[in-house]
Amino acid sequence: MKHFLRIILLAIIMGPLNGWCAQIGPYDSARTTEDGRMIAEAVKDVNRPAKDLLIKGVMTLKSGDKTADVRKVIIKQKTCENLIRAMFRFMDSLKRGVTFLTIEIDGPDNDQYLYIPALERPRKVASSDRQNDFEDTDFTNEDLGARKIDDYDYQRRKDVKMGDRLCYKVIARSKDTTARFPKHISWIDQETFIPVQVKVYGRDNQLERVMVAGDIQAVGNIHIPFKTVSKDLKRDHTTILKVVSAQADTGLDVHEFNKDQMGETWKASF
Amino acid sequence: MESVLLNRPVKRMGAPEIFFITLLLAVMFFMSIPFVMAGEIRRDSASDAPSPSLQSPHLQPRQKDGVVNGEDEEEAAETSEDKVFSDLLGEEGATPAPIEPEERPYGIFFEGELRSAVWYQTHEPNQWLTANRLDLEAERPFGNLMLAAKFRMDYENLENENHVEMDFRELLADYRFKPEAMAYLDVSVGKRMIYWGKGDEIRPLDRVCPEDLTTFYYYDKNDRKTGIRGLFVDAAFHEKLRLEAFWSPYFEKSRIPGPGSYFEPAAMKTFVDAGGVLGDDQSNGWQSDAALGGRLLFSVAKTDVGLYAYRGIDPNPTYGVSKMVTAVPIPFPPYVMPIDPTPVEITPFHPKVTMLGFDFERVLGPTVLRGEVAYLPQGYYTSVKWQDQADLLYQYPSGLKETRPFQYLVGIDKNDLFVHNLFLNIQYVGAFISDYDNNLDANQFTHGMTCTVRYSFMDSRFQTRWRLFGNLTDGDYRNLLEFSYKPVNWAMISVGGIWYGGGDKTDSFGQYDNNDFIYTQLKVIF
Repeated sequence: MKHFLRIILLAIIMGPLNGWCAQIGPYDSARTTEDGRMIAEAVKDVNRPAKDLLIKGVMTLKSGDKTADVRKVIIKQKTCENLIRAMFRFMDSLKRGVTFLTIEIDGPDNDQYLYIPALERPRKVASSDRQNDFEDTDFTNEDLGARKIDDYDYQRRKDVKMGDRLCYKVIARSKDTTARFPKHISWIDQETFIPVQVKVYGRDNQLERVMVAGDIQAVGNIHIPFKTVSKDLKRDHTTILKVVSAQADTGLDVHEFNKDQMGETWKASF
Repeated sequence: MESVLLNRPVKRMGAPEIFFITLLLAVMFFMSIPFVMAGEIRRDSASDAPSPSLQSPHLQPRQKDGVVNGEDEEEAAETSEDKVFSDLLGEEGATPAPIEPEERPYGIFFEGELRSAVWYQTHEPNQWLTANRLDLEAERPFGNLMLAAKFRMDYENLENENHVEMDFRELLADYRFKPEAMAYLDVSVGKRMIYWGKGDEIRPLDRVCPEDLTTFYYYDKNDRKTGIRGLFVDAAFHEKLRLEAFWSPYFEKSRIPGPGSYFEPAAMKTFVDAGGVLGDDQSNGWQSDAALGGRLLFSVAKTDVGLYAYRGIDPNPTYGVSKMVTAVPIPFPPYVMPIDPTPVEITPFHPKVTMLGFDFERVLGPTVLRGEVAYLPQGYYTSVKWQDQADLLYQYPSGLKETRPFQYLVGIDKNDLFVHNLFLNIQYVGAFISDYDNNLDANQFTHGMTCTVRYSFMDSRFQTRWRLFGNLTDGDYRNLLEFSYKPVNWAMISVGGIWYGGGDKTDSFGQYDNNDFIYTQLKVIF
């Protein structure tokens, strides 16, 4: 009998190894709200680096089929007491040195600053600008780190298969009635918790923007997409971010993620 | 029976165990049926989906061909939402080969910028002028030690002759300590620029560094600066509490437009043309108390605040009467005739200024609110009305009286005003002389404003900029309008115009009413 119980226990334990998957479970129409929020939290937490993340990439801006600009970018991320700090900098072109800093805080709005080399000081970014496009790209300030889980209400929909990936589907609706993009629909890969497709809807509930992520690779204990494409369907404008290299937990100094250090030269370069 | 693997005897299962295992397997089998069947439906949907051609060849969502019989409205809507845009991943982007930092020559970070401009004066004598600037910047880290340099070379002919100026704007060694009680402690020695205040272009607090004003305001304030030489400390006690301090034992003055220069002050020209003498300016040189200052930066209630204190020699000159005549010779007794005091020589000097102040920046609704206040209790001089009341020169022989003004600024910024990439900045600037008296040749309150509008489009390939400086008290102004085009991502061509007006010949901008000009500039980065 003891041996039999051991077998039963082993069968129960031999379930999904991912803790989040075990919590989220299969689609249940009675739990759409709770599951939706849980999935959103998982997306935020699962691919958070234990210490830091350094990404070097190339951003291509396209207007229609024409390439408008190509810029090298470096993205740094630091986890400080479970809160994220992220910096984004253009490394070349006439935008070189333009740096964007997001400091996640326990509160309604994260702090965001924009540093332009000619000004030699960081400027605060208004929280109402979080859904504005960052520079000329099709990523918003919110996409660069200002999104707060509590800013949205979530609804889980039935799971969907995207290619060979089984995905959670979550609709997020902004609590801000004046939001430029009040509705997002995300398809989140159940294995990596990377949103592989996000559709962004305007105030008229028309699809305005689509973001897709591909070439998902493991970097340390997390996953990141090595290619992200965001397309503004109205303007027929596309931003392609291709990752050239990514390193996790390299020992980035937390003091680099300070508004007063935004103008400093970065050791990382390519 | 023995198990070779477990190395212990294996007990045969009895009827109860067999029953429970069978029950467990049955439950797992029946629970899996819905998931397997759902998977079959999705696989059928994906394989049956046509790929319709759409307007954009890069947008090929795969979608279900019509609605499956029996689906309700909500499910139909969900199905249409599930259009897949994965073809976007086929969009081609550039991928240059990565260059590792070790491949930098001698490990030096280096970049540069060249700006070359031609001006055309739109009034007589319709001069053609040129202003060219080369900036080079280099840094080399050695662990926690950083060596940095910013070099500049200017070539211009604004002073009626070709003029080349070379300057190390910064040349310093910086070392970062990491003491336990602090986030970091940076100590620098050398020549370094100081950036104080939160205003755009006009910053009452930002008076430490000398500036090159020979092109007046053609270059922005930060671009006009050069560093001060000394010792600099930057101590971060906490992420939200920082102290900066410096000491400079070397005085360096600003470059001011001189006689015959395109931006020669009108009052100076009038005085010199009338036979007056312009005395020599103080020389640059070592002086142990040339400048001492610091600021404390912190955040409170989501507001970034700075407290400032400074005592140092003002790099910008103040012009005072250095010689005057009170009598003229006559050919008959008493051979001397008294006259009203008349200045015959004006000399620039650099008083030692004390400044206290604060600034702040805060998000306010959809805008960002910034402001700063500077109080100058010592070393600030204002002209007296000696031109109307000559005998004031007996009371104030230099023609100046030391006053205690407050200078202040408040401004708002708005990104994406009405349309994307339209930036607006409006600032109110003012000054208040706290110890005003009627002998002063100035208003107790002075008001002004600045307005900047920038708009870029087509991925910043085209940019426009309009900037207005306006003195509301005297009514004079400076306007700049510029259009820029970026043919490649390392070059920009600009055409623009700057025009002055209002006020009179004694006002900051009004005096240059005949100095309006249009220009074209090429900027190249490398």
